[in-house]
Amino acid sequence: MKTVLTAESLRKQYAVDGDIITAVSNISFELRVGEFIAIVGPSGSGKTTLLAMIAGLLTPTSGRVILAGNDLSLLNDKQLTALRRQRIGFTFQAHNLVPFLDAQQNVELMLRLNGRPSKDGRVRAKDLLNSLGLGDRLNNLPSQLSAGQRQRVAIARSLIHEPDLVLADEPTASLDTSLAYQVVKTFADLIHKQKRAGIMVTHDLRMCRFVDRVIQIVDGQIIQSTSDCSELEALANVELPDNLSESR
Amino acid sequence: MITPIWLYLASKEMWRNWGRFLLVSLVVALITLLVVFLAGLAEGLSLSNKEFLSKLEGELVVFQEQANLSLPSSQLDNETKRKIQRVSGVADVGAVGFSSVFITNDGNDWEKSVSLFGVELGKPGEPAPLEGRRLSGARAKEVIIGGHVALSTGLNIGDTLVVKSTQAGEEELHSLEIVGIADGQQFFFQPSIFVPIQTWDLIRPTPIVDNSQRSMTYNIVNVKMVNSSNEVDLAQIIQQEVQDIEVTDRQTAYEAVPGYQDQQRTFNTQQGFTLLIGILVVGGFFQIQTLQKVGQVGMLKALGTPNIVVSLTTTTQIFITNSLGVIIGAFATVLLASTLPPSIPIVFVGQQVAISLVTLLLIGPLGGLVSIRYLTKVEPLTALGLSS
Repeated sequence: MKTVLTAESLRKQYAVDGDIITAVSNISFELRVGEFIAIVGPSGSGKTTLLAMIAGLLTPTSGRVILAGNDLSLLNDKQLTALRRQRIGFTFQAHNLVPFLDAQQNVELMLRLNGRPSKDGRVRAKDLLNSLGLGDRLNNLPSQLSAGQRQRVAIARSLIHEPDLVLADEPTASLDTSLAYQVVKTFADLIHKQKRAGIMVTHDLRMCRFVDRVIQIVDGQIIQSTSDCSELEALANVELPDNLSESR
Repeated sequence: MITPIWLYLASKEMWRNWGRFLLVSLVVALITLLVVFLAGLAEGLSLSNKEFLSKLEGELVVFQEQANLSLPSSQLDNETKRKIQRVSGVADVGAVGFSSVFITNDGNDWEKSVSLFGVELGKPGEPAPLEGRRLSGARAKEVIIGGHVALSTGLNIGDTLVVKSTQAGEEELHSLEIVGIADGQQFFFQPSIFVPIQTWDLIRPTPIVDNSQRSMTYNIVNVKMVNSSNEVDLAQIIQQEVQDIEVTDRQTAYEAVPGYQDQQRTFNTQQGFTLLIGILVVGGFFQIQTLQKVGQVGMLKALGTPNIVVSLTTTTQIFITNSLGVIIGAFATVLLASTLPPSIPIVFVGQQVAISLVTLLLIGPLGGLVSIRYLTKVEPLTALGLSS
């Protein structure tokens, strides 16, 4: 499988009141097409900082990120912005959707940002939302959707422009367990089906059962990286609802 | 055709939140109403002061030297006028006398204060009537009334106008036949009427009973030049060749009318403050909007929205909101002005209104500069709850 992302010896340090704080220390990994991984760890472990460096939102103190053949350290701000727009799909924990665009328009936004709005794009956005169970919510504003529905719209938006890499920052943070399972399962299914590569940052180990690999971080360092099914189940260690038990 | 993304985002947000944007437009409309209304009032009041002088036919106005360019204080005689006439470069001169009197109709049904001007027939200073005919003789008991007098009194050509004049302590009534109506030529906040210069000398208020005891004097001499392009040079030449006079152009003459400049400065200050309030209102609204949207803008930037799109989106919204307000305000001003009684001196001059409207169109972008700059500084990292 083709490598989409390479993180090489990533380190991020901050100076706080004269002290040097290391948020991420010497993290390296690769991500291949069709692979969906979770970066897990407690709050303050450095996982969101790592995600920001992978997305080109934060410059590493040392190390480098290569995304779809592009060394991010060699790109300027304008090129990084274009790379995010074209090659990356995002879902965030909060402020996920544009409040004045309806569900379908939010999904189509990535096509518009890339200068590619089209009838075909509209159809794909509609199909994607239908497949996520939001066929009857196309014209609803975010304020008229539930938290789970909003996350599913964000998932559709992160995939509509066929990015190489999809990044999700705590996508289940505001959802109850049942809804969180549904959202992550949907995400995983789409990434596998569309042969994208995905990284989900979460502190919720229960979500590990839906991913192909888990990278566990504590204090900015990888303490475990596993793709073993039993280990992932052990990490998750939670009874699944009946309707989701066949998910993996 | 593909709608640019900035226009798409700007229009969608305005459409969904139309009430909020319309409210700001209405505030801008009120500011526009106030600014344009003040401009109209300033022009109207300045016209009430300067209209006669600004519409004089000649290019230069001659005052008595000690009069400090005050028309009522200036006293010139025929000898002075003849000397001015003889200066090379002077095409023609016309003596103008001024008094303030009350007029009424022959039934004495009302009374109105007017500026009474004595003018020389066929000379600079004599008004050309828009209706009726010119004055027929130097001593004719005829009068041309300004448009404002006709409008406010209902007097018309052929009617009799009575001038009430205090002469040697007694009120004298002088009946004059209206032979023409000229355009509005106000002076000293009063509408004007025009009579032949010798008629004026007979009917004007005076403390002397016997007219044979006093010589003919008038207030100013209006000078028409052979070549109107060298006003300054000719004014200097006239002043050198004729003693005890001060020569100036029409603009300097009306700017010297007592209170004129203070009045204009007051209105300009009011307009300036109103525009400043406009900048603060528009700026305040968009700054509050911006602060509420930091998370959303961070998310858009994280998705790959360039700064230029974010800036153009807000600039477009500011421009549309402000322009809509200015348009509504302009129409509201026209509507309001049409309902006001003619006694309120509001005059809209195309150029001044255009300057006011362009200035008002600029207050939006000016007020929004801070918000636009703030938006460009929002870090995409805020979408992840981080800061650089």
